[in-house]
Order: sequence, then C-alpha cells, then structure tokens
Amino acid sequence: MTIPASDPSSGGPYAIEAHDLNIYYGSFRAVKDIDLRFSTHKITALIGPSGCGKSTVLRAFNRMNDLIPISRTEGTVLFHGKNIYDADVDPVQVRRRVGMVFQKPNPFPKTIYENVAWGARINGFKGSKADMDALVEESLRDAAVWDDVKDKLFQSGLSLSGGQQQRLCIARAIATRPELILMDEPASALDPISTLRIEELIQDLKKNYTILIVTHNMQQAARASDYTAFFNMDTDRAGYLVEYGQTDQVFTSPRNEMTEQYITGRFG
Amino acid sequence: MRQSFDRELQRLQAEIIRMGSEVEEHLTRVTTAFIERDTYTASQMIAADASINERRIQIGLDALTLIARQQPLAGDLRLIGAVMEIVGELERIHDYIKGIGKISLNIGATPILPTFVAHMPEMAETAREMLHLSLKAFVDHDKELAQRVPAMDDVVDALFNRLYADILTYAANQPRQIDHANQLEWALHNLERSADRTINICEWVVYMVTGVYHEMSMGEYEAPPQGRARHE
Repeated sequence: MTIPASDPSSGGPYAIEAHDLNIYYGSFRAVKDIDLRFSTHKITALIGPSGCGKSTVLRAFNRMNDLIPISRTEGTVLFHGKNIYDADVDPVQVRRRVGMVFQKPNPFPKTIYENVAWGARINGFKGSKADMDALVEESLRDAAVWDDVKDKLFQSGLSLSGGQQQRLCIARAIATRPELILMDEPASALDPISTLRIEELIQDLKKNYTILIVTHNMQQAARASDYTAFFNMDTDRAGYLVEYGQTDQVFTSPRNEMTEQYITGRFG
Repeated sequence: MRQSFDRELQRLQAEIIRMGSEVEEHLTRVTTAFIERDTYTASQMIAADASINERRIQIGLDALTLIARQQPLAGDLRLIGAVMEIVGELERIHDYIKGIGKISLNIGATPILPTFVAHMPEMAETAREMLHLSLKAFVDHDKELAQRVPAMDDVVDALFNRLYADILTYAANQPRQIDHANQLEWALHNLERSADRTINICEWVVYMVTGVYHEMSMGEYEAPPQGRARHE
C-alpha cells in the first residue's frame, strides 16, 4: 500500500480529487474530462439525468469500475496526494479506506453482528472478542440502528426492514473506519421516514467522514448536501461536469442555464 | 411535464399584477380625493383596504401551497419568493393609501394648503409610475428596468422636502393650525413611504432575475427611465 496513512493534522482541505478523469466502457467514453475536488468532512451530492455518468464517476473513487472487465480509466484520482490508479496501488486497499453503500440494501445472509464484524475483519482487525463487540456496537450506534437491533444481534440481517438494512450496510461500511463513504442512491428504495433517517444519519456521519452521494432526488440533494455537482450527457453521450458549487447556490441561483433547466424539471 | 406548475406560476403572477394595478389606481384616486376634499372617495379607499388584505393573505397561502406541492428550486423558487415579498409590499402600500384616506376624513372641511394642490398630484403620479414600472419589471423579468426605477424616488423625495418645508412655514405662521399641519405632514409621509416600498419591490425583482439581493439605497441608483416625469 503506497497511499500515505491518514493524518488529520496534515490533511489538506480535499479528501479526494479527480483530474482529467475519462472513463471508457470498451470504445465508448462514458465520462469525460472530469476535474473535481471534494472537501473533507463535507457531503457532496452528484446529480444529473440518467446516463450522465454520475455513478460511474462515483465508482471511480474506490476503483469499483475495475470490476467491469471492459472499463478503462484515464486521468488521475488523488487520495492523500497519491494517484489511486498507479500500478503500485492495490484496489482492495483503496476500498478499505473508501467505503461504499449501494442503492439496494445488500446485507450478507449472516447475523447482524457478523455483517458488521466482517468489515472490521477484512480490515485486519486483531482485537479481542470484547473489542470486537465494542466495535460492532459503536458502528451500529454511529449508523443509528443500534436501538433497533441491540436485542437481536444474532438474528439474520435480512430480517430487518429496508431502512434498517440500509443502516446496517452503513454500519458495515464504517466498521472498516474508512475516510470517505460513497453512496449510490442510498435511499431511493426506502419509504419517506426511512429516507429522512438516512439523511439525518449522513449529517451525523460527516463529523468523521467525507461523503459523496449520488441521488436522483433533487430535494434530497438540497436537504442533505453541502456541495452539489451537476453532470449532464453531451451530444457524444459522454457524461461531463456542468456545474459544481455550494448546494445553497446551486439550488437557488444556478450559474448554468442547463442546471436551472434540470433542477426545475424541464428535462431529465 | 410541468404544465400545471407553469400554469400555477402564471396565475400567481397574474394575481400580483391584478392586485398591483388596483393599488396603483387607488394611489391616484386617494390623492385626488385628498386634494379635492372628496370624502366619499376617501371612504371608498379606506374600505377597499380589507379586500386588499384578504388578497394578500390568499396569494401568500397559494404561494405556500405551491411550495409544498411542487417543491420549487432555482428560478421557480426565486419567483415564488419574490411573489411572497411583493404581495406584502403591495399590501403595505395600500395601508398608506388607507392612511391618506383617513387623514382626508380627519381634515374634514378645512381647506388644504395651495402648495399641496400644486405639487401633491405630481408626487403621487411619480410614486404610481414607479409602482407601475416595478410591476412591469416583475412581469417581464426585466432586471435593468428594476434597477432604474429607484432613481425616480429622487423626484418623490424632492417634492416631499419642498412640501415639508412649506408645512413648517405654514405651522410657524399659524400656530393654531399645528394639528392641521401635522395631518398634512402625515399624508405626505404616507405618499413618500409608498415610493420607498416600491424600491423594495424592485430589489426583489432583481433578486428574482439574478439570484442576488442588493439593497438599492440612495446614491446607488442607475439613471431613471428616459422620458419619465422628473421634478424640475
């Protein structure tokens, strides 16, 4: 692992940066010329119409696109000053420090306890049983699901409601103590109450983590994020960044006419 | 895709224009009634305030409903925000109209100063024209026009200062008429404040169009619109 260790005292203002990022699926360029820097301990929403490449961009930050055989990434993604696409970087190591939560809750078919402990174990956790118990509890508490599950830690994670399952998945992600959490439409499959709980949770998590969230829900982006990046699809169908700014500004006074058209529902 | 939302936004703007036109007309009528000692019209203008208040509340509630149902963003949000502010300004301007009407009734049969007869209509007409142009800027989303209107307030202020000085002279020469002079001064004040409220409307129009709220205080006005009434 050649990415420098996390050191908050020496950390810059940006958790991760993309420069000249271009991502291809075979000969098709899915996103082009992305330059973006994400502020540390902030929540950034990635919005845009279907097919604009926002999920592809999100997955570039923990090399999840590598799992698609025909994908190819050009440009650099700097994490602690190191390009995570350099040949000497192990993508598995990247994913331990850049966690991910998906659209559909995907707990393992194991107990609630094991779902969370798994994250710590793959991260080389070497503590005692008591230490692991403490870590599981802390992660579940941080994910605002402890009160729901504390009396049934050894029941299947699949026995929980959709909203609880998603918070369990967030607990699993933060048990590895990542620095950055990528969320791909984490609340789109949830009811309104569960959605608001996830949004509240995201607000709490930003004290310790930097969060990037892809969402189709404009109100969610407006409610839950500090910064918003708007992507659109160009005539060659490649996604590109149209506007990036503070969420307050983007949703009240977007600078780009295309952003205005999109967020007011005139296209997309 | 958003036809019903657009229709609602247009309806809201139309309501503002309808209410604004009435306020404009009442500004002229109450001033004329004041000059001509027409207590009947003055009473009508006082009575009309209740309907203006009701419409202000209805437009405000309609705007809130639209926010709840459509969750507007960007330009739509700024438009609805501007509507909610502008409707409040129109309602306050009508309060000043009502105030002038009440003063008319208070004055009763006492003849008013000739200088009022000479200059108050021009002051009212300038304030009315400012209101008219600010509402035109609103409906046309015309930032430049909204930025030019506040300069017309100089005309209103100059007339205010002149009439105020005349009132002071009158009061000094006829100490028994202090109460009457005071009533005149309040009528003058109401008219002058109406024009100030119109500047607020212009500020919200600029915000609605640009997303930037900028107070257009004295000394920052652009040149007034060409060909408009100016006090010589």
